[in-house]
Amino acid sequence: MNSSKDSININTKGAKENTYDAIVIGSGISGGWAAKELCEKGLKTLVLERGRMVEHLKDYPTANMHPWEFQHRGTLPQKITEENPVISRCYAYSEATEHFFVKDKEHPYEQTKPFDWIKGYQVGGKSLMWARWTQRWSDLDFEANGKEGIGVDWPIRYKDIAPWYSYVEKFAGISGNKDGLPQIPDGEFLPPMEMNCLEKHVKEVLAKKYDDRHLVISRTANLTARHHGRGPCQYRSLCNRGCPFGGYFSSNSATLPAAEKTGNYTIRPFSVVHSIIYDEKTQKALGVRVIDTNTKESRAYFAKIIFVNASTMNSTLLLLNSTSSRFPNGFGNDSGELGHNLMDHNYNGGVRGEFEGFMDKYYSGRRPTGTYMPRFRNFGKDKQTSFKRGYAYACGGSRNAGTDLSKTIIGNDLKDNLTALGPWKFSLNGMGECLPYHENKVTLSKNKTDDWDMPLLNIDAEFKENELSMVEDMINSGIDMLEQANFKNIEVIPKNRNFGLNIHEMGTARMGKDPKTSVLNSHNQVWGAKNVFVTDGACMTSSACQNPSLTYMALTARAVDYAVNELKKRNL
Amino acid sequence: MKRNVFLKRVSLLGSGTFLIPAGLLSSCTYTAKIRTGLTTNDIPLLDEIGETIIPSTGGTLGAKASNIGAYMILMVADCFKPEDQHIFVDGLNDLDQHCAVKYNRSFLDLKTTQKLELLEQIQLEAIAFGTEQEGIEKLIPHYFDLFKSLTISGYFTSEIGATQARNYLPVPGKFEACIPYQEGGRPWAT
Ligand SMILES: Cc1cc2nc3c(=O)[nH]c(=O)nc-3n(C[C@H](O)[C@H](O)[C@H](O)COP(=O)(O)OP(=O)(O)OC[C@H]3O[C@@H](n4cnc5c(N)ncnc54)[C@H](O)[C@@H]3O)c2cc1C
Ligand code: SF4
Repeated sequence: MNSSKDSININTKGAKENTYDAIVIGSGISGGWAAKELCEKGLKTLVLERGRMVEHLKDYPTANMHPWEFQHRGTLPQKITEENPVISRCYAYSEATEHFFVKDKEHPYEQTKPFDWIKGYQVGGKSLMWARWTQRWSDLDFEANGKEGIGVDWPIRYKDIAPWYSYVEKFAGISGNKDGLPQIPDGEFLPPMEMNCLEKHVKEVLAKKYDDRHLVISRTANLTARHHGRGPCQYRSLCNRGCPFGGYFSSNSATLPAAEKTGNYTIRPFSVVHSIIYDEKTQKALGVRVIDTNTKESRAYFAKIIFVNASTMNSTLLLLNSTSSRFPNGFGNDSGELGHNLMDHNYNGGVRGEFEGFMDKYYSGRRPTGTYMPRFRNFGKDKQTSFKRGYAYACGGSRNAGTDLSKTIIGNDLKDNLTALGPWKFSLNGMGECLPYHENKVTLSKNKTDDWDMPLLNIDAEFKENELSMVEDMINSGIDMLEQANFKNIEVIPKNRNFGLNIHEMGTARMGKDPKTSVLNSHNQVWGAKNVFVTDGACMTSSACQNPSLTYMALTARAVDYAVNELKKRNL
Repeated sequence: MKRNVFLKRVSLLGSGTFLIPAGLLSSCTYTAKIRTGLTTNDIPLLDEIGETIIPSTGGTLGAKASNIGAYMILMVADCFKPEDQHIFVDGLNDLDQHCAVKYNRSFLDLKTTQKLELLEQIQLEAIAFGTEQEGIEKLIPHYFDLFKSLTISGYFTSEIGATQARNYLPVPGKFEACIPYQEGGRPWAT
């Protein structure tokens, strides 16, 4: 089997027609950036995307629909949720967004332990549905593994990525406030969205009662001003349907149009990359093998540089599936680490409470983001004994219609109750770092393949002691803060999310300093096949507790810069 | 589920328990319907239940005008688990029984005050039923909870509910973080 993959029939005529300077696998958040950067640097670039075309504005069928225009007012029919238990657990999956998510049966996988794999297969990938929270990572994160001897050390530090954060922020358009907090360094921000009265109040109270609890507006890829011909945001908070104003960052609204403008861009939807073709002679990748999802036909495309951006799990799947006599255990897998060290964030601890006050205050418009409390555990003076690292909170204050009384009344009284405002509420939802454990892994199924002749992915991962202890602390600290701020009716928000459901899957092809213990070097270059770069979540060496996609963007732009320089120096 | 709760639920909902011996029925007696499912014939009854829960008042129309009956039938058919569908259908039968026993008329023929009085009474049953289940992880809903939650969700997501009873602003255009609010003012619809 290995040798047959090595000896793919390359018909030279086909080869010429199918040859580009660069190939990008996947058109989501990271692939969109790879495409834009490669095209702008003058490389003829082919983007291979397994899903259908989704054109900005044109292919957002629900974007302007009113609630009453949905047959079930947004709720998904029982038949659909029953047939799709995994995707139905994703909060963003609804009658309004259904068309952007992969149904469970369309792409099965094996779960040794429960793992909710949330996928979006289309041009734009999950950039269409993401929640757009974009805090930078800091050296607290990049240094942690090395300092603590966990996993392997990151081969980069904040100073290596900082200019690239700035670079991608300037184009993507990130709104935020310069808060001067070292654990979430400030960036190139568009004006921040405002915090409401209760949020401001909580911020002030916490600042008085603690010296390490900072509530800030979340840095968010929504445009608070017109930016590169996009936006501004109109505050509808319906982003995951696609935005008719181009008010938030997606591949479809931002990076892919920029790539297209160069004249160097070709995109081929309905093209599943099956594997990477390795050339023994040059010790580089020659190209990729693609299955057309409509015809099931297989063909090869060739390029000098290949960017792997199929999203964490799919990138590693196709690397594992790319075997040759040089790489019998998967592409670039000399270390044996390919598939290992899978991480997700842990969102299982949250609390909420009611506030008595501000009864004469409200807000207008729907702010498409929340407030954020960056990590305070095991940072600065804080030292925890029951867990390493820490967590952030996604927070929000809001005021909804109705009071508790509505549960026991009907008629005019009920109508009056529900057409007036109830009390203010505030919630804190922990987002915990997950350590990289070698045994949290993905492997190829031993006997099952999918419709495209690729083995199914087997996922075997769980949260361990460190993550579970952290959840306890998320809850206790949350209650403590709400009590300090005089909240009433404080309660724990019941949550039991499976690994994967926080949609921050990371690791499985980690970056490192040593080819013996990592898959990628400090420029996301595969050890042993230097013209292949993996710049999506698969490359992550640790998970931090910030949302990760901004970091994928920055790493991608940085890696393209390096790759093109190397190409010019004839090193690739 | 605790066994005693289950038994109580069955006796509360089982349509058999309320059946009046056939010999007692005379031509002018209202006979409760026994449904095994929902049909469009149930729309007027569901409209009235919805209207009793959220009525037309002063300037704004109520649940009936928002076609709440048709909405309930659609949602029960498409979005409910089978066990909740049963509770809903049995619940309508039970409501009919209450009407027959208490008023000897159909719900549709009751005066507005009687409708309200009856549903308030059933709401008390529903509250008690919920209290009995305290501490149980998977709560069994009482049929009245289903009527009420569908009425609320359907009404406030309808064009009438969203634009008349609440304040619907599809494209706000800006975000104002802190504005004055006067007690009784309408909340945003979305
Ligand atoms: C509801 C939701 C909320 C989120 N909120 C946030 C947030 O607030 N902040 C944050 O940082 N992140 C968030 N995320 C996560 C974020 O969406 C992902 O981290 C990000 O999209 C990953 O980018 P990517 O390029 O790796 O993958 P994707 O965006 O998933 O794109 C991968 C693309 O590759 C294609 N592909 C897959 N396999 C193949 C193959 N074999 N051949 C060809 N093409 C292939 C897919 O079809 C897809 O288009 C959220 C995600 C969801 C779903
Ligand atoms: S909130 Fe802003 S970005 Fe989101 S859909 Fe509305 S206008 Fe677009």
